[in-house]
Amino acid sequence: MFIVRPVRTADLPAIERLAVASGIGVTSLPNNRDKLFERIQKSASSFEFEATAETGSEYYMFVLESAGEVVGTASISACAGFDEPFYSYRSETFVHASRTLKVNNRVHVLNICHDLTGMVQLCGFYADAALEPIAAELLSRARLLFVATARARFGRRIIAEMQGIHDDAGQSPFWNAIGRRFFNMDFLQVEQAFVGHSKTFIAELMPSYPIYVPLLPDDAQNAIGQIHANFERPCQLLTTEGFEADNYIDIFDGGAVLTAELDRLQTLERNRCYPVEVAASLPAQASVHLVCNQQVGDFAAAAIRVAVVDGVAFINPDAAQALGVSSGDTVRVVGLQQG
Amino acid sequence: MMIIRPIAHGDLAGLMNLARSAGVGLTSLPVNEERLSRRISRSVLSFAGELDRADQGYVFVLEDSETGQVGGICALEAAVGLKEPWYNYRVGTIVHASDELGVYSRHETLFLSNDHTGYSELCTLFLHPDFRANRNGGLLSKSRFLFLAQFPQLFGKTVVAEMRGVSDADGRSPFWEGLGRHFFSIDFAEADYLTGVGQKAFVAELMPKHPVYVDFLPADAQAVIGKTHDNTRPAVAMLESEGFRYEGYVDIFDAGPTVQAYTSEIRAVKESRTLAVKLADPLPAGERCHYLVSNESLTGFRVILAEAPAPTHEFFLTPDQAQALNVQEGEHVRVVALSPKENV
Repeated sequence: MFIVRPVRTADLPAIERLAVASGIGVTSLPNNRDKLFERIQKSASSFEFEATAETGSEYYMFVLESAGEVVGTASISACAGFDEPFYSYRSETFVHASRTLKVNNRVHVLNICHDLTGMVQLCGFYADAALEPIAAELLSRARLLFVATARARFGRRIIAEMQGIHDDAGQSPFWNAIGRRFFNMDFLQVEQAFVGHSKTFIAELMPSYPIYVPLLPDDAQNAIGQIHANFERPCQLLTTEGFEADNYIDIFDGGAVLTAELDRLQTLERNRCYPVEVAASLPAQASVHLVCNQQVGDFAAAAIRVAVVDGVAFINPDAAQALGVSSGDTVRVVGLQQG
Repeated sequence: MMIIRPIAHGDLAGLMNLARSAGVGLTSLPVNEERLSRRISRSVLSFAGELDRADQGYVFVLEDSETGQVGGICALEAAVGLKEPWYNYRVGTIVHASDELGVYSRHETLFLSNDHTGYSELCTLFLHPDFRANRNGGLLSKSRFLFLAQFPQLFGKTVVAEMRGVSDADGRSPFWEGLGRHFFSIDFAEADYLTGVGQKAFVAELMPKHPVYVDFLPADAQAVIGKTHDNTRPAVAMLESEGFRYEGYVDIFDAGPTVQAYTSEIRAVKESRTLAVKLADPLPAGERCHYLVSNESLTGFRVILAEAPAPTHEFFLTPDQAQALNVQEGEHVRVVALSPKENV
């Protein structure tokens, strides 16, 4: 059984292993023990925090557990950027037109902006590629079940940065066309060199005036809004959820930034709460759903078989144990995307 | 004798001949009778003081007083950019630096500017190939400085001159290919033509309005920013010797440099003097230099080149020269050495 729960300090070695495996470009999962430890601590205090609508720097980190082993991690940040601006490029169209000369040209421009600052942000997603699809779905959507459970802790809109295109050697055509000119370093080098600093710190050294896309090399233009092959599955999960790739891209690798209205997401719209009944044998119509408990610090979500009969959710004892619920407690249930 | 004088309506035929010999290269001198006729009218009205500053443009011709043939043209705009915007790119510098990250990088940027609005402009200089001798080029071009010196109230405090940028034998401009072409699906030659026929502001409005990072341009486009076409080098050298400087402003199409100078600081303006005329025939013996000599009349403005001894309190002219300038003995002329080395 796959279970998603808040990260604990004891998970540090496992998280470190995942960070190494996640490779290049996932800036939100740094390959640095101190930083990871810091994040785990921050997450722990966020879960303990008596949150109100006044969202701030809370950062919630989850792990995906299978048979007692940590095999994935995903996070949600209450407020992108928090006390710093959150930079992205906004794709814009300038129309250069002249009636006199009978010319009408549309020019694609990237304008650096802070539009996404303060939005809820899904980040730090990594699951072993070998895992079955339902595990990735649980890991990704458990965060949204947590949002549903602790809705007051999160704002109205949510974003998720998708990793952009880069080759096996870590070369990003978008970075090479823009960022490299301002840093004279590979993207990978920048990540490593500045691991102790926030992304905003680096963003402030990037060009602040609009970038005319037609002036960029073709491979950089083609990378705009594209998503790295490794991110296709997480991206697919989110677009099915209701996320859209509209006008925002990452300023470093040009990857798409997905955005959505939190309350319009499938998980938030379709989940329902039921009192639970623990039963060793489930009614015949039982099928696999994503289910979570009603806790914050002891939050747990799992993909388990459940049958809802007359407003009661029947689950078996193993699942109840995993979720930390017993008969009479309330659980939150939502269907799988495939279903 | 070669005389510089204001253009007149009767010069249309001569001007058309000049335009034909200039070919397509000189867009400000189109082989178009209607346009040239309008240009003449504007100049005539400017000299007559009947136009607003925004419209004032002073056109001069070089005439051979023996044949009456018009051999060259030069002009001054009183103030650019007062009716429609006057565009340049200003080559700026942006430094991206972080002490903490150990990053320091310097970037050139092109800012679209109207900084030269209200400045005066040296423009439309063309000398027929048959006349390119006997310092006629210097006379034609520099005659304008005496006009500036004599009538400073008609002009701005700064004078600019746009120098042709780099293009190849086929008229292909690397800067245009690297920048303008992306915003405007026409050839440089056509953009250049539209500029010549007074449509530059329209074209400019289609160009990028936000600063352009030079780093994003192809190397050959970067290389020609602020560079002059080989054929224009002598003209730049002449203006530089008069005190004009490149201050980081370039043409928005071909990135050719705009050179500029404070009107009162131009060598031929600053060093020009007014002296009383003294007739002599022949001129007194002694070492002679070339001097630009003008009268003090606006509508009857004349400039000639005189080879004369260094003047003290008065300036020696032959009766022919005095007649060409329409001055009598005892009247004043404005005088300056043709070249910086030959100081008055």
